[in-house]
Amino acid sequence: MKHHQVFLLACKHWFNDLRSSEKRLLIAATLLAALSMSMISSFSDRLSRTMEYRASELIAGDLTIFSTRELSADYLSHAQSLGLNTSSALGFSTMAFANEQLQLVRVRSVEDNYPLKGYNQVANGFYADANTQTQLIQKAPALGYVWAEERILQKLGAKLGDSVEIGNAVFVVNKILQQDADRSGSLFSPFGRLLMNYADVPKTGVVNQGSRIWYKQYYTGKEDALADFVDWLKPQLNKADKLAGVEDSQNNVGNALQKAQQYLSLASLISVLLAAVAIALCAKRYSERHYNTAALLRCLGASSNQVRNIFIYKLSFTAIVGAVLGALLGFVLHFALLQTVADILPKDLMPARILPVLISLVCAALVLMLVAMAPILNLNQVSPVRVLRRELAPQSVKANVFFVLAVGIMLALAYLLTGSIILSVVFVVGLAILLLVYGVLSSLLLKSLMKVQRFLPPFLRVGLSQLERHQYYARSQVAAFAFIFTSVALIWLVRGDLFEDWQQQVPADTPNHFAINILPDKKVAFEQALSDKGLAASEFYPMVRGRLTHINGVNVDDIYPEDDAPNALKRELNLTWSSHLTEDEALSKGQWFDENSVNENAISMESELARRLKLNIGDSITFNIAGTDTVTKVKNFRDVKWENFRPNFYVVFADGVINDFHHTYINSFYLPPTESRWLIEMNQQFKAVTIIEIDQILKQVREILTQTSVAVEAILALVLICAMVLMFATLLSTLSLRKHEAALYRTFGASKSMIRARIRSEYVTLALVASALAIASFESISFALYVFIFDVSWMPHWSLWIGVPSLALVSILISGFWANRDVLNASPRQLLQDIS
Amino acid sequence: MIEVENLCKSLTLGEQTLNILTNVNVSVAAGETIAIVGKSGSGKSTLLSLLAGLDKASSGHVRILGQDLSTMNEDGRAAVRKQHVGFVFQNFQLLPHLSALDNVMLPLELTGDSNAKIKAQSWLEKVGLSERLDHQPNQLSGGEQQRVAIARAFACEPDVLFADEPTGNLDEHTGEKIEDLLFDLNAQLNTTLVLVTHDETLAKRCQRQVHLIDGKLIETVTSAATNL
Repeated sequence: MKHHQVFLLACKHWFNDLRSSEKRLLIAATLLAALSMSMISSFSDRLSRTMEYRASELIAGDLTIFSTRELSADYLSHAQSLGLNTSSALGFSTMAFANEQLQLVRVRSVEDNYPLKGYNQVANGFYADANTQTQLIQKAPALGYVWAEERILQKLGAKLGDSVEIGNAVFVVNKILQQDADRSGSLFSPFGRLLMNYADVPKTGVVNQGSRIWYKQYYTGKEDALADFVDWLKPQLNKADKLAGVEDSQNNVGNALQKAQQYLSLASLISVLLAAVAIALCAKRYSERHYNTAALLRCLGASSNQVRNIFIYKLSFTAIVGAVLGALLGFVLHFALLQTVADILPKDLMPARILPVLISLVCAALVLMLVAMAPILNLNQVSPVRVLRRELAPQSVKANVFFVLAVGIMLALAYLLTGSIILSVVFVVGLAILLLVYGVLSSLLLKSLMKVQRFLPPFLRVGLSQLERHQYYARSQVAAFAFIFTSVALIWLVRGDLFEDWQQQVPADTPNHFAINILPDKKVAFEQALSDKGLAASEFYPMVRGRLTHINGVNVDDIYPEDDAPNALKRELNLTWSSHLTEDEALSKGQWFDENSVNENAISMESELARRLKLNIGDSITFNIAGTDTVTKVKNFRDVKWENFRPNFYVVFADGVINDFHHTYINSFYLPPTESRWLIEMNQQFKAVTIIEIDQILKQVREILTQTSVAVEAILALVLICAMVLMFATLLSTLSLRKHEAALYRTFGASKSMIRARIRSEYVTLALVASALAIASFESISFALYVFIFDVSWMPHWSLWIGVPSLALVSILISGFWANRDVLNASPRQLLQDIS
Repeated sequence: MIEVENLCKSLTLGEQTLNILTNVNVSVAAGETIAIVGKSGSGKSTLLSLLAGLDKASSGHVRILGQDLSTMNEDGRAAVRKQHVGFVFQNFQLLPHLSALDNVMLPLELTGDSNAKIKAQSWLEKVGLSERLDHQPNQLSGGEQQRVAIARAFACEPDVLFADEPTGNLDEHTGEKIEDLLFDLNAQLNTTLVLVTHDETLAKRCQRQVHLIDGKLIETVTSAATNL
């Protein structure tokens, strides 16, 4: 028999065999593994590329170079030779003059093609004006015109169309700048931003030798060209030149998105693992069901190689059909998933790619081949004598190689989905240990229950004795079910924590306005105005501006050469004082202030800055505030939740240390957008106060969190489907045994209802024992996670103590009775015929 | 056609050795029909499995058409089976997921026969199942299943046919019809038939009967009856 004839024979057998439940389950499990991977990876591939694109919008390019010294023109020319788009900017602070008023402004002068990515958000009137319309435009101000932030115009008492003087030149303000395309720079700077054309800078005469100027170049282009450019650029960069890509851009939602993507990846991985376990169980039963076929083929003269090849071909067809269908279906479903959340997704979503689909297809097929190969190779060992003596089973082949390869592919998959080697190893090794522990624990649990069975209710006793009779299967079923319920419970728990975390981050009444520059004598009146309006406001934080000059008596300029210094040392810091921690802060090291703290000029440092400055508790830090040096002592480090939309500070002084310096107050409050006209009154009443609205930013954060939540729900549903398939595979593994028993019982006169009652008792017992194991392991894992990793207090999850057994009972009973419908409905003769 | 020389089969169970067959010697001529008769547990099926090369003897020799099976590995014996041997089993041994036609085609396909389908159809017609080609085994009666098995056994026109209790799972009436079919086809093709049975009546339809008692071939009877 030639090889192609073996192939054709395998084809024919594969098609004829499609009706078998094991084959269908094998295809279903492979299909689900591919579907899950393909849907999630296509979805997150597009989402993350879009997010990356949007992040690049936040820095107005794919790549930027920033420097306090003039940037080399070679950078631009080389980038252009590589086909990249370039744009230059120059920034400085200067005074703007209008209506006899002076105001310090931060100017960014940009070329005509600015921004290369993203948009400038501009308006045709003040925020509080009902007729004001907002516009997103991808261009720079024309020559002779400037766009200014609203607060500049309010300070200058100017309006749109008025002229402002900057240096020697006069400009017309023709747009209100709501958001600059390049979002870098502090939101809480006391001075407003103004955008002008690059070509207008010389006529202002502001930029001279010695002026404090910064330079920036923006680049966009194809990934390859950008990578080539970065490779060329890195050795050329001066020390002062700071290269930044989108990965360096930080925004409020970055953290939440990263967590969500990790969650999606892990959930997707769990669904693949559930599918892999289902494949392993199905493959074992599939192989056992084909011992007779293999024996007959051998008996009719097929060589062992031919038998092996026939079954490997059949397995490959299953892998290909399951993986191709799953990957394509996943690809289609990712469109459906995108469609359901289309309203909140960016309109310019990156196009779908075939790569994630192909990777998912290959991985799912490999998972099936490797996991199922050992049981399939057993068929090669079947003796032809089995045609005469059915009881002859083959010796199991040594499957170590395939086991190692299967673990390898799982590791590769985990890495592919999570992008972290450590996380992948921990996950896969942890899972292997978990499965092993389940095996041992389920055996112990069943044995202990047998010892105390006389104290149990009668239906549980019947169930237990059923399980005892098939100890091997009972043990593996309990372990498999416990694994399913633990996985689902963990996915559920993490999802709940994520949602809670996000809701806390942007609750409905999150402040959407910041008020800065509130003078001490106006503080009470401002507070009163907010209270009269019935607005919930945050605390009023005092704010003093000061520069960090010395660490332990050494000038920071000597510690850090100018170009290497952390940003916090290059600019004035906003300093505050407080006698208590806010609810969003937590001490990470040291003690909070006490009564002696004033005398020792104690300060509290934000822990991340302390780490970057390599500070220790007790170090002395000198601040220059309004020309006066104040030597302080680091009393503690604080973790700060930066993404909470409330005023946060790097340095907090003990109450009483800097209270005598000139200070203003800052606070944040929530004003419903419909009430925005009230701000005009406030501006008139408190002329010195600057109110910054951040509604747009909040809206963006909420949108992204909502869309991520939908994705999280979708993957949870997918995990549940995978769990159901595994459950089915587990229940089917004992089907022939159950058929045999039922046939004998029925033949001896047992009624259908009696058999139904026995099966029910067995499944109820199975569900309860597996739930107990799942709850114990789930609580242990969550305890370890909470206490040792997240460092938060742990409480038992009572809802799951009820939820898991309920879910177990319902799902096992429904799928159990479905899987056993033949056992219950067929006549004894049919059953006996089936098992013969 | 078949020569058996000092054939022994024993099993080791713990420290005990169980002798299933002891020094069996028998020769079967080409075209001869021979029945191996014995009670349950006498070693009939074991002898059949050794004669057909399904299993390996502990000692002794089995030669089919001069080829010594005892010196071959399993794949070598499989090749001999493919070329020269056909089987009919008590429990039919049809593949449940294949149709009657596909079951009969199976041995032809294993030999790489390009006319497998035509030959299989023709054999199913010969056994009276031309209307049941696409039926699966579970849609056929016991007698019909055994007819399919007989068609499969003869499809490759083997030199030797081994039949293990071919009527053991059938009622008397159907059994007789199957016996007739088996012996008719055997006579037409002049196939050597080795039949294992505990049914003395069936055994008497063979030209020779050998009796197995406790693993020993104790007598050989030449039947007066013909296979007609």
